[in-house]
Amino acid sequence: MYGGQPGVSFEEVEAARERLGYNDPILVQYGGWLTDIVKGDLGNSVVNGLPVGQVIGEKIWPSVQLAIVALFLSVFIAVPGGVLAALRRGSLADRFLTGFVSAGIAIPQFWLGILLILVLAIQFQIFPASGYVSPTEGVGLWAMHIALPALTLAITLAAPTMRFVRSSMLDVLSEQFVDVAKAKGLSSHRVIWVHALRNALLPAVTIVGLQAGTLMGGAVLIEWVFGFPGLGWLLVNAVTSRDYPVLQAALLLFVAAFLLINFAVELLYRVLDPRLR
Amino acid sequence: MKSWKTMLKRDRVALAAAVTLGLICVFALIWPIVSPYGPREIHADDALSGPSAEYWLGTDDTGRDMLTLLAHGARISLGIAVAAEILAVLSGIPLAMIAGFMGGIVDSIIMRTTDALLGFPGILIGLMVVALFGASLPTLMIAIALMTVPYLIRVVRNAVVVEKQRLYVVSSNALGVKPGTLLRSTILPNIVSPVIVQVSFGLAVAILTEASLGFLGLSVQPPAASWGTLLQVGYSYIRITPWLVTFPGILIFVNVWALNTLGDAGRDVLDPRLRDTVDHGPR
Repeated sequence: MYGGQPGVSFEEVEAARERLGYNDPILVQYGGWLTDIVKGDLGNSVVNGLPVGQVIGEKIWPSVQLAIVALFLSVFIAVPGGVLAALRRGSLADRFLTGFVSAGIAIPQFWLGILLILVLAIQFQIFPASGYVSPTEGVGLWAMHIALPALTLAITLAAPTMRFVRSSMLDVLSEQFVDVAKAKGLSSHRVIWVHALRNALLPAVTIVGLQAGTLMGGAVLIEWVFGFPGLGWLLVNAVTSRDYPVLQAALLLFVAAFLLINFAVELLYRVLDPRLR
Repeated sequence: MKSWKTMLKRDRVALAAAVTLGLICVFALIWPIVSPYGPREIHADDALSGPSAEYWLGTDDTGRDMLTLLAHGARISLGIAVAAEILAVLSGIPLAMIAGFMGGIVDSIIMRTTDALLGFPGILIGLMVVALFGASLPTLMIAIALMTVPYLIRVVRNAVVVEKQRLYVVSSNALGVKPGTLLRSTILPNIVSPVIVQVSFGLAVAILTEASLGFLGLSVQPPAASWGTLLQVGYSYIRITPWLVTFPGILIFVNVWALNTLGDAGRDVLDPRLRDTVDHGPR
């Protein structure tokens, strides 16, 4: 018995190893993989024989959608929350939001997802528990399917961002230019949301950027929990079925995406902070 | 040591966290001894039963008592976490001290490697190591140590760079104390506090990682049960017995919260300027 399957002879396994190049020295295998990559050939999945490029290509788009929706949601929670906590420092709202932050950092992301499934999909049956529908098949259906995984990610991503926004907002509010803006007679709304917030958001941009980078791979468990057919789901599948060509290509893609996003954040930072130019 | 005591006295949340942590440890140590059930004791007739006087937290799919499984799981999960952190400390601190003390090219090599590790989303490192070497206890520990060690190295290295410019180090150096002795007996005792804080965060990350990998079936294999594998079992029966997936999650959540809170409180004592900066480690 080879490869976990009965009825496969030793000769057949050897022939397969020879055909797939598993008998070559590791460096030769790596060199071969590298040259193929440069030529744009990622190899074939050992599980279903499909080209890896195609297997991965199908999964990129859902993951990108999930990442974008989750990031938008998290910023939407974190920025107003952080500003509110900073403005009412020490108040009940501040303490509640600080509690939200420590809980959001400590909770296992995928377990939060499971809880949301329990409450919103099984108990109240508002959202579907799993799956993905392409927006071309109906935006409403798409939104329903992406809502729970995106909300799970957004809550846990919002926690550290909110903490950052709160503390940098506190720093900024004590600076002189805020007093100047107030003395000029600007409304407090304008001072807070335009003058102070713009400066307070700079550090938050870095952390949101880092999150965007990790999201490409970091949504692994969330995609698994929600049966969301994205890159993370593919990665777990590749690990459990030992589909190394897919695994290698997926990791390569994660690292490339991470570096690319970090580069983009660097550029964005320069746009937002003229002092860095 | 004194500052830690005052910290707990002044910070009631930190005190609550310390007590919580203590209770979880006592639970892991004592409950397996006093429990009327064994961790592999199967009551097939009572499989998937709800919380009752007989089984306080219900039973799993083979009819094992959940509370007993949680206690034994605590031993495994916490054991993996502690072992991984010991590995991280033993490998990370010497490297970090060498990097910080020697500077130059050695520093660059160690720190750039660290940066490369930091560049990966944490769970990917775990998945990669497990994919390469298979799910086993040593692999898990190495994977988790690899995920947390970069954070430790960075903190210790920066602390050493600061310490080595202090007068007492400079004068010891001038007196001809050998670099090895200098690092061990004068610098090391002065960087213990930041190490403890970082290890506290590291343990939290380790518990979360074990839970994640266990949930994917990549931690200890049945019949052994960790908090992560209990979550996996609970998740597969989510529509029938929702409490099965709830209890292990609560334990993990509370444990991680306690470790993070203690770490934060410790860091506030060490350096109030660092308050509110989030760098707990990979998620």
